Amino acid sequence: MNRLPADLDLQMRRALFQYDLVPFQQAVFGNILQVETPRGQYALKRKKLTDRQVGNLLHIYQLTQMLAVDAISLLPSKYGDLVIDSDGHRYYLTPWINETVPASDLGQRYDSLYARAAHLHRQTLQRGDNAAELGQSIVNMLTAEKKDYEAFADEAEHRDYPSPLEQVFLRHAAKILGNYEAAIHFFSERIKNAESNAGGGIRRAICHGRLSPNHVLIDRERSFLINFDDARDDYFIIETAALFEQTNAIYSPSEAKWMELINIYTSICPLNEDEQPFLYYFLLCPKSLYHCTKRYRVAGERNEMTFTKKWVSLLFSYERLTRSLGRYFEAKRAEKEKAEAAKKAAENQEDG
Amino acid sequence: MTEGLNEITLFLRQQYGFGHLSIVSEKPLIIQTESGLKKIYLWGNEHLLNWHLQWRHRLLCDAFYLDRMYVTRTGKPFAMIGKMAITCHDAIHEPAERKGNEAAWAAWLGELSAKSRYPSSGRQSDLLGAASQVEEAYLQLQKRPAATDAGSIAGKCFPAALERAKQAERLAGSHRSRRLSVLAPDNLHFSQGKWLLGKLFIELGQANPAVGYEPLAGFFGSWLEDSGKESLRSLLTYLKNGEYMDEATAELIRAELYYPREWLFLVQALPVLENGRTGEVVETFKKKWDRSSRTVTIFESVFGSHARFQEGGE
Repeated sequence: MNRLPADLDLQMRRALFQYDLVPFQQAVFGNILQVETPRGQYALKRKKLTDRQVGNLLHIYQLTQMLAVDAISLLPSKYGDLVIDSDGHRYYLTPWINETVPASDLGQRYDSLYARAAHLHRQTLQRGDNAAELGQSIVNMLTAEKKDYEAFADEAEHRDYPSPLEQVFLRHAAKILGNYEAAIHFFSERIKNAESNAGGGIRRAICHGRLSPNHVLIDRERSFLINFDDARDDYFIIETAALFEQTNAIYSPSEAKWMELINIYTSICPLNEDEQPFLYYFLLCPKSLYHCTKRYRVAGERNEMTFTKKWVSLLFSYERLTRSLGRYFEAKRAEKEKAEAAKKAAENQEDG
Repeated sequence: MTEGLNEITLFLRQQYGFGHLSIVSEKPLIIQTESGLKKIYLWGNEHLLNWHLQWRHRLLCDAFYLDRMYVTRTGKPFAMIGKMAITCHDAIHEPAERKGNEAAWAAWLGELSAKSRYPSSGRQSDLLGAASQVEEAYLQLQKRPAATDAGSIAGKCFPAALERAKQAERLAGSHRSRRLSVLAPDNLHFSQGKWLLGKLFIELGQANPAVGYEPLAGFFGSWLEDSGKESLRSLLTYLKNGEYMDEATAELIRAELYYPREWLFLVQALPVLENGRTGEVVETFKKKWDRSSRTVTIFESVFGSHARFQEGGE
C-alpha cells in the first residue's frame, strides 16, 4: 500500500470510515484519493466546499438519478450522506473510472467535452427570454474594453518607436475595433427590441461552471463530466462562448477541427436563431486577447517576444474560430432557406 | 440461535446488504459483518426513534462521531420488522480515556449543552422548592427517634443541606424565565464515549432524553470520582474557554450540584431502612455528599462564584 503522510492518512481513514471502506491499496492524485477495496475501486475527493457548492452538487446528483445528466454519480455514506464533513474538509465518493484517453490527447478530450457540455445544456434547457439585462451588461463590458483598445492604439500611434506588439496591434486595430463596433451595435439593437423573441430567445440551462478537458472522464465510448461544484442555472450561451474561448486559448484548433467541434456541440444542442448571432458577436470580441493586451499594458516587466507571439497566436486562432462559426451558421441559414424554398415550391405546386 | 434472531439476521441481510453476518452478542445485539461489528437496536417506541434521529442530526459535528443510523438499501435510517423498527449502528469497543482527552470531552458536552435544547419543564420548579423540601423532610425526621447512625447523620447535616437547598433555589430562581433547557441522555456518562481514529465516538444508544441540568451535574461528579480534580478542572476549563456554555447554563448546573438530593434520598429511605444496610447507606451518602461538595468547589473555581457550602458529610 502507498504510504500517505501520517496526518493525511488519518484524515482519509476518518473519511473512509463513513463509507465503511478499508482500502488494501490507495494512491493520491492531487485532492483525490484512489481507493482499492474488495468491494471495488473508488475516488474519494477532498475539497473545501461552501454550502452553496454542496447544494449544486446535490442538485446535479438528482438530475443524474433522473438520467437527465451524464455525470459521475455520488455514492452515499453508510449514513446516507452524499457529501460528508470531516476534519474541516468536505469529501465525496464516486466510482473510480480508468480513463482510456490520456490527458495529452486534447483533440479527443475536447470532442468528449463538447458532447457532454452540449448534452448537459440540452437536457436542462428552459424557455428563452430576451435577456435584456445580460445584453446591457455585455454592452457595458464591450464599451469599456473598446475604450481600452482605443487608448492603447492612441498610445502606440504617438510613440516614436512603437514596440513590436504595438506595431502588430496597430496593423490589426481597425479590424479589432470594427468587431467591437459590430458587436456593440448588435447587442444594443437586441436591447431595443427587447420584446421580440422571434428566434426563440436566449435560453437558460444548467451550466457546469468550470468546463475544461480536465473535468471530463473518458472510459472507451463513455464519458462523464465531473466537478460540478460551481454548477448553476444560467444563460448557457455564455458558458458555450467561454468553452469556445478556452478551447482557443489552450488547444488552438485548426479550422477543420473547429467545424468538427461546432458540429458536435450544435448537433446535440442546436442553437436557435437568437442564440446563433448572440454567440457569434460575443466571440467577435475575445476575452483572452483583451486580457493579454491589458496585461501587456500594465505589466512592469514584460517579455516582449513572448507577449507578441502569444498575442498573434491568439488573434489568428480567434480568426479561425469566428470564420468557422460564420461559415457554419451561413451554411445552416442556406440549408434552412433551401428547405423553406422547397417547401414553398411544393405548396405552390399543390395549389396549382 | 433462536427463531427470532434468525429472522432478524435474514432481515438485516436483506435491508442492509450485508454479505456475511454472524451474531457476536445477543444483549446488546451485536453482529459481525464483512465491514466490521455493528450494533442493532430494536425500537418499539416510534416517537423515541424519531426523537433519536432528530437528536443525532442536531448534534452532528466534526468534533466527535455519533452512533448514527446506517441507511438501508432504500436509503431509510431504519427498517420495519413487524411493528418494531430496527436500526444498525457502528459497534466501537475501545473506551475513550478521560485523562488527556478533556478537550474532546468538552467539545461533546459543549455541543450537547449548546445544540440540544428543549422547552423547560417542571424540573426547574423542583429546584425552586428545594428549601421547603428539605425543611419538610427534616420535620419528618424529627418525628422519628434518631435510632440509627443514618438518622443521626441526616439530622447533623440538616443545616448544611438547607444551606445547599437555598443556594440551589437562589440560582434556579434567577433563571426562572429561561425558556429552553438542556436536553441530555438521562444516563449521560463517560462510559458512552468510545475512541475511534483519534476521535471521541458517542453512543447515544436508545437513551431517554432528560430535560434539565441534572445529567450534566451528575457527569461532572462521576468524572471527579473517576479521574480526579485536576482532570475535572481541565475539562471545565476547556468548556469555559470553548465558550460553549453561557452564564445561565453554568449557574443552572451549579444549582443542580447544590441541590441536596443525596440528603433527601437518605431521609426518605430512613423509614424503610433495614438495620443491616444502615452502614452501607451511610457510606454511600457520605461519598455522594463529599463528591457534590468537591465538584461544586471545582466548578466554581473555573466558572466563578462567591457561593460555597459546608464541606464534609458530618
